[in-house]
Amino acid sequence: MTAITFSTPTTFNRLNSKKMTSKSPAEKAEALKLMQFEQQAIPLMPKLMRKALEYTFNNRAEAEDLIQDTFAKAYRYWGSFEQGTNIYGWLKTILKHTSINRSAKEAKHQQVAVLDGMADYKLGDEAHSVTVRSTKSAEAEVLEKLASNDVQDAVDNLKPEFRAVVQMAIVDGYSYQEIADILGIKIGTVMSRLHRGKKTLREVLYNYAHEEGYNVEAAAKEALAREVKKGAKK
Amino acid sequence: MIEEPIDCATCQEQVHEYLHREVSEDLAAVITAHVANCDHCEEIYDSEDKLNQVIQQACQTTTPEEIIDKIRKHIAELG
Repeated sequence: MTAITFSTPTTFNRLNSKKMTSKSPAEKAEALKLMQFEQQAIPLMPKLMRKALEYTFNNRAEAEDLIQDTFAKAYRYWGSFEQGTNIYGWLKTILKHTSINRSAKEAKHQQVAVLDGMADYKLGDEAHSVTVRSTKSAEAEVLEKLASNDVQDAVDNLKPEFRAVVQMAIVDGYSYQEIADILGIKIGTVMSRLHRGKKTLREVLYNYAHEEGYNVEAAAKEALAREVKKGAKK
Repeated sequence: MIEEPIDCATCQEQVHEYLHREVSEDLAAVITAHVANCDHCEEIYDSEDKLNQVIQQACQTTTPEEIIDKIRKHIAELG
């Protein structure tokens, strides 16, 4: 198997957009990814299905859902799979964590009230007011103005190893330990990739906001003025 | 519960871990107390939290529909 890196643009599409045409290397990379996925991952589906049936105590429908989730995730995280290493082990880890998280979610459904309370409890009472309070920082306002596809583009353009961690931690809600297991890396590496990934995203999104003509400085001033006003009221 | 206050630098270092609930309850309590009283740290925490939300919303369904369809088809063939 040749080790091919795909979708690792050294510059971001956004910054490059003037030069970009419709047939991009990213599209070719996507086709290659699909080919690898179908050749390597899909054939293992029957074997994983047996595992899934084990996890769901032979509930076929649940097992199928589980497999669908697992393969959908595997496709998303494909860039983080190290070609030539044990793909079955990798898929099985994703399956296991998907299964655990699903059970956790179901349990959550059964006791929504309890968990609602716990979410606050975990962050502490004051934290709740911190996040809910509508003091919008200037930065937060800039972020709000961005369109979803811009954010998605920025995430897609991260290096695969960063993208995987960002996706798993922020979108899929995996714990650091779970991410470390699935990617076969240390927790410290998960942390540094998440930090750096978010830092890059922030920079890219700011650049983009700037290109779009959204005036970051003006927003900062506005926010500051509001803060001062609010302070004066106190 | 709150053992001792922390400084801004330490507080800011922990922002991702805090938002992902990867800090101990004790540390979370200390951070919460600090953030509640420090506008600068609060702004950073808010901003990171907002970025998380924005990413989460934008990337919710990142597996393309056609891939999901393919996966479904393969599942159906398992029999």
